[in-house]
Amino acid sequence: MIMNAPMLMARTFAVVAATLLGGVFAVAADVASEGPIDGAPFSSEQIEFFEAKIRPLLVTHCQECHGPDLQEANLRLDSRAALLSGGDTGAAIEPGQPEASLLIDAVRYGDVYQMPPTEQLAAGDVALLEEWVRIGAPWSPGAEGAVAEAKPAFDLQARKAGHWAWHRVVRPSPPELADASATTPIDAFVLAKLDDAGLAPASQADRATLLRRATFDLTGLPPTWAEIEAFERDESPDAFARQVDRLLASPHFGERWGRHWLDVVRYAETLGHESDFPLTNAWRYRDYVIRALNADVPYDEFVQEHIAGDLFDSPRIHPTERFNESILATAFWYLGEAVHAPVDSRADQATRLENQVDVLTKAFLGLTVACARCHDHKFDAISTRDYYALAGFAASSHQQVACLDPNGELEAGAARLQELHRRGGEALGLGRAGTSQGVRGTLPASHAAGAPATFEGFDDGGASWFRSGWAFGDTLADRGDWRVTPSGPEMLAAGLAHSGRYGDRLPGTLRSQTFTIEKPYLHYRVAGRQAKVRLIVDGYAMDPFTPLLFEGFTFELDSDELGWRSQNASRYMGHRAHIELIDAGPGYLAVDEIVFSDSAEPPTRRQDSASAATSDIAVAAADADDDLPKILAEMSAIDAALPAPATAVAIGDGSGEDLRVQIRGNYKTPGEEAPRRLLEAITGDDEPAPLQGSGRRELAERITAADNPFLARVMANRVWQHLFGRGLVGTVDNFGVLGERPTHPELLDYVASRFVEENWSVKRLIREMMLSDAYQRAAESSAEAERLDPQNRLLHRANVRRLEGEAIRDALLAISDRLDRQQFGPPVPIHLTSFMDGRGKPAESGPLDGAGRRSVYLEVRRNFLSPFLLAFDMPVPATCVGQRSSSNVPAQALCLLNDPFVLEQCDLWAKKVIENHGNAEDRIREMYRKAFARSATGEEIDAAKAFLDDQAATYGVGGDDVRVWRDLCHVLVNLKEFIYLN
Amino acid sequence: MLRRSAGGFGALALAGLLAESAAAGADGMPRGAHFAPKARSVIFLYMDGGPSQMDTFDPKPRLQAEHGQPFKMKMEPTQFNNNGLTLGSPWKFAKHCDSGLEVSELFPHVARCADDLTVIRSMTSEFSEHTSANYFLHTGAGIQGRPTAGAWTMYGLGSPCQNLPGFVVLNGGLIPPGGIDNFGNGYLPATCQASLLRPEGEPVANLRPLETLLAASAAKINLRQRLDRFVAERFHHADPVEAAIANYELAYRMQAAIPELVDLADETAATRRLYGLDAEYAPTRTFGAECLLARRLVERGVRFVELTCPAAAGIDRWDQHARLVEGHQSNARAVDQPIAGLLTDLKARGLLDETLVWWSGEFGRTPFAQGVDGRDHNPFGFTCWLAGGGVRRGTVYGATDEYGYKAVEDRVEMHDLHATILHLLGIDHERLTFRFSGRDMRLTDVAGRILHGILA
Repeated sequence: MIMNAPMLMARTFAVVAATLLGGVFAVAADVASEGPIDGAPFSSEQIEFFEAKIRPLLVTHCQECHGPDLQEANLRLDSRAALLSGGDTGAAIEPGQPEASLLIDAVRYGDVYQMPPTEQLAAGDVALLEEWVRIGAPWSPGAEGAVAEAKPAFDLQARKAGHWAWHRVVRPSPPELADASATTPIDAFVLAKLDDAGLAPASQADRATLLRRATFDLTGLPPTWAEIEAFERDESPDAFARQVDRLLASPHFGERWGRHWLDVVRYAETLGHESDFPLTNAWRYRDYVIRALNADVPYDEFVQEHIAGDLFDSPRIHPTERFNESILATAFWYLGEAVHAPVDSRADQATRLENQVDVLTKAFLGLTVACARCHDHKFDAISTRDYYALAGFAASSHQQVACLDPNGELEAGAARLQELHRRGGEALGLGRAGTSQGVRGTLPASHAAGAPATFEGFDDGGASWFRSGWAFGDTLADRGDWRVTPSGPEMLAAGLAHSGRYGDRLPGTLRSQTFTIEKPYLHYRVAGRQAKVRLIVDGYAMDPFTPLLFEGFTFELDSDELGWRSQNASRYMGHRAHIELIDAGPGYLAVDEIVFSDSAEPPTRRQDSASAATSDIAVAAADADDDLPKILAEMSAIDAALPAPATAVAIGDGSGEDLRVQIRGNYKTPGEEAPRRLLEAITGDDEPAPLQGSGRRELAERITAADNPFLARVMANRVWQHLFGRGLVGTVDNFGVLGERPTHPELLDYVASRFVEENWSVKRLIREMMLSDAYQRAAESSAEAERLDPQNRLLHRANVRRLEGEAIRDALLAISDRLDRQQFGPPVPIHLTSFMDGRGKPAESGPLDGAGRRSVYLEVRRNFLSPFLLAFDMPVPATCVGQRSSSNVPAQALCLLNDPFVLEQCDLWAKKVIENHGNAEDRIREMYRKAFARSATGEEIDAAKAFLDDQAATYGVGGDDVRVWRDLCHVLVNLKEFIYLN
Repeated sequence: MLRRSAGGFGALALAGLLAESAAAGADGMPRGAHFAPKARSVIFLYMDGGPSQMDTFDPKPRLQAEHGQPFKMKMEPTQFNNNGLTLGSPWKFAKHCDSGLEVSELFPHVARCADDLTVIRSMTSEFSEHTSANYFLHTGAGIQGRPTAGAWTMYGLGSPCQNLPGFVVLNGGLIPPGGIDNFGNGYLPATCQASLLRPEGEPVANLRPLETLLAASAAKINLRQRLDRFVAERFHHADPVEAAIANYELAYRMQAAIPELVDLADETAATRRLYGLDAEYAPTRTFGAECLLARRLVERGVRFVELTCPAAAGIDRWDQHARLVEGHQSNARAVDQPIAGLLTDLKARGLLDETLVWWSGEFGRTPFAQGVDGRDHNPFGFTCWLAGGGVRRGTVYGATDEYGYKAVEDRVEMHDLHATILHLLGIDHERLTFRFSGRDMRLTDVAGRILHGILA
């Protein structure tokens, strides 16, 4: 029950109105003064009051939805027992306590419910209900009536048992076929089904068709004619396998399959919503994905990196830059949209968590767990508790700007600096570990009411804080500690967390445990330069873009004097929050006390240790030995040579927080606690391993354990879809009851088993699928086969597939020779057409041709997506989309007909064609080879030649004029063959 | 091989779609209405930023009486957290026409159409932030990436118009917070997406052929058609390829139809005046052109037309956090005459009976000041109005409290309004579903009641 001032105001209104009712109310009040507060019997006056005034209200306004016919929210209001038993959010009334009764809150249009929904009761009626509850909610005897029936029990075990996808993957044996025609186990499964249906498979595709298909499938680019010819000449039995191996080894493989994965994780480089603020350095995640696919990182490891790559003891290292590669994967948690200045920050957090859970579970499990946010899943073995148990992992973590350490130079530098710092301390005659005299008094554990409460005194250097980076060191700044400054050593007071002890340039951040804001003001005694303090409430991190509603929650430090800085968090009383103390590199941050207070004024210092520190310096200077200048010089030199860290979006650990179930998805109605764990229907009765911090590391282990049937099936199915045009389970992101059942269940389990056996190698899985006859079939078949299997569910032929927008654009660049094959790095700014407008529009447009870079390297701004790619069904990056539409709209034709980018590429292509080849016929042949990876037919050559003559005549130019050839190029890229695979 | 069924934009794409939706496990494009429609088309006059209800269509004497006093109701959290005193309306209200509907002096032209309006004074939203509220108004969900009402309408009904897109957004210059996702098709097929059309300059992206010599482009078309026949044979007339070839014919027809659509030369001087095309104030001329184009679009059978506000120097659409008088006056000046012109013209041509005109912002504004002379966002109670096909004329539905702060009578939620609009189009909102994310998604989520009280 949530209490607040407005209710009191509503009550005042009600009493005023009630006094106008006169007599009846007086009677009721009299009875109340002596009547029972709970439990019958009630006096006859009370019952008369109920029958005359209350029952009619309940009948007229409530029981239509909360009565015998309907029980919205599982609540009935037609008996006293029903009111006491209540609905989803508990009892409707607390007899004797109107202020604690949900019914009263609801009719007052309070925070949780506003009832009746269409129209508020008259103030007098509200007053009557209040009075009725106050006198104990009298009800006529003998009319106790029915309680809302318990809703049908959510039977997780029955649902699990009843749906195929929860069952363990068991590797089936390939069926034995009568004619032994199957060349691979995959074909045995496929042919068995075809045999059953009386279908014969289509013949093999010709080699040019097959290589074009394979090249687009594996690299997203067209094959060259030389590659086609080489393949056609290769008579060895493993000719196609060699092509597949060549393509799998191409650096373009990761670009192609990386883009598939980016759809799954709603990848974008801005935050969308109103102003489309940047998600700085998100591209490092895109590059991570491309590298991981090219390196064939085992998929289970890839998944673990996504969930907890920041927590690996031995992360993978970037192949050339030598920084932590694994942590880059965790940007995945934060690729969603973000709202600035949310009026309800808890609702905003709930929306973010929902998106994180949605993407996490669809991407890795093919399950729609977010459907269980408000109620147990309607169809699947997923409870509301499962949802909040998973959301707890995200709520226990927070977004961080990870400091990457190229070549480990920062790590090495920090180690050397710490060692020199220790020696420097000895030279200063300090550095005696554990000699703290406790120069400051400590506060008693409890405080008088209203007194400021110390949140952190740093007497232990902030041992309970989460550290990242190097600047704050591993040890606390105790008595006798010191720091380097340009003017020499400076002594530090005890009980101080300081990021400048080792020098100027090391980055480092301290994050507090999560706490509840219980006093309206926070005061920090801090000093620093180029450093900042942040208060993060409900995980909201957008205030650096606009401080609205979170004013002062981030502040910069620019003073060397320890002094008080304050924040007013009165708007967020009762909210969960944590503090971040951030020294991003140059500069430092020092803090020795953080206090919560009822007063806007900072407290007086509990005990100032400045004099002690000063005297220490005098002692220190006197004791210094001759090594000191050398040590100081060396420290300065190391510090000056430290590289600036590279930065990336990542997740970081916070306090473990188990969420409470939010009944009906509303944080205002909390239910039972949901301890963090993977879905119960996967883990069974396992006690979850004891969780460290957020518990993500344990989640990463658990989700990749052998008993999870989803991880391998879902990914193997995604791979199948990208090669065959359709998954064995058509709904690749939903293996639940509402998803499709597999067309070939045994084949699915076979490929899933093979995937795991081959150490989760995506490349080996692809290879095995492509080497099947099923992949290599022609796209056409007999009329009879079309009649029996019109949608090709049984895979009797290859599917005709339209290329994705990215592949079409990349193919245009490839044929015009404009393609710049450079990999990785910051995105190419999006080209802005005059039709792209709205808030957050970039000041400058990117180049029309995207600088010739592959589409995967074009900037992905949520509010300014490429119209060309959108026309060809690039999904909006909102949630996991593992399966793109393949629509057919005039905008596609208009793009290829009139987009200046297309015309520009045709112009370039025409010039190349004219330059490289002599006569018209050679040129036409070359163009067909390039655009369609095949030879032109005589008819096609004749038609093209006639066209060239016509255009030359129309323009009044010679046959070598670029306009003439550009027109032919333009016609060819508008042929369907350019954008379809067969 | 290409299956032609119902007409329109969607139909030509049908063959492709059939394959697609089967692959998606969806039920395919539902054709036609569930029951006889009252309206054939919708014109949505989107009042970006949130016009103030108590300054336009919801007069509040008590607000005037307590002007300058501390606000007496509990104030809910606001976007800018800078709440001031009770702020009476600077504009006077009067009763208009036979119905006596009350309209403020901000809308002198629209006031003359009072007998055609159903004013809903009890609208509510769930969001206080523009972008979330815009998504909610358009898509029934406060997040990015969901299909907008126009896309749902296309999904449900397609469009009878053969050579124009069935869902058009006339972009007056202000793309609302949340960007073009407000007009997006989300998870619905791309056939449902909006085409952005500008009232001035080049109307549609990639529409104008860059080749200006007719003979040269005709030869290109001929060659493409000829060579594509070879391709179709090579692909054994596979459905997607045949459908994509047919798609080009629609594109060519659009190239011809749109210039004809936006050429207003055949409109009389009187019509142009009616819409304010000769107005002194440039934003009035822009919005006038949008309104006139809207009529021309529904005249040609286009299913759903949304108009965004004109960009005007110095005012931030209807979002008057300060200088309410100046801002609301400019905004009203831009749209008042064109809207009245549209209603009058539709009526005169007999189109109003089959066209539903919908006027709404994403939320209303607070009855107390933000600072001293502005109003903050208010989703708890605001006004929208409907006119035309299937709705009562000259009536008021629902009410806010005495200050105009919260809806208290016949409270209307966004899903109720969406359900009612679909109902008027002949669609049962509970049956218009699309399987996505493991759910049968709806414009109205799991809610929505038909507002029978506003039906004619």
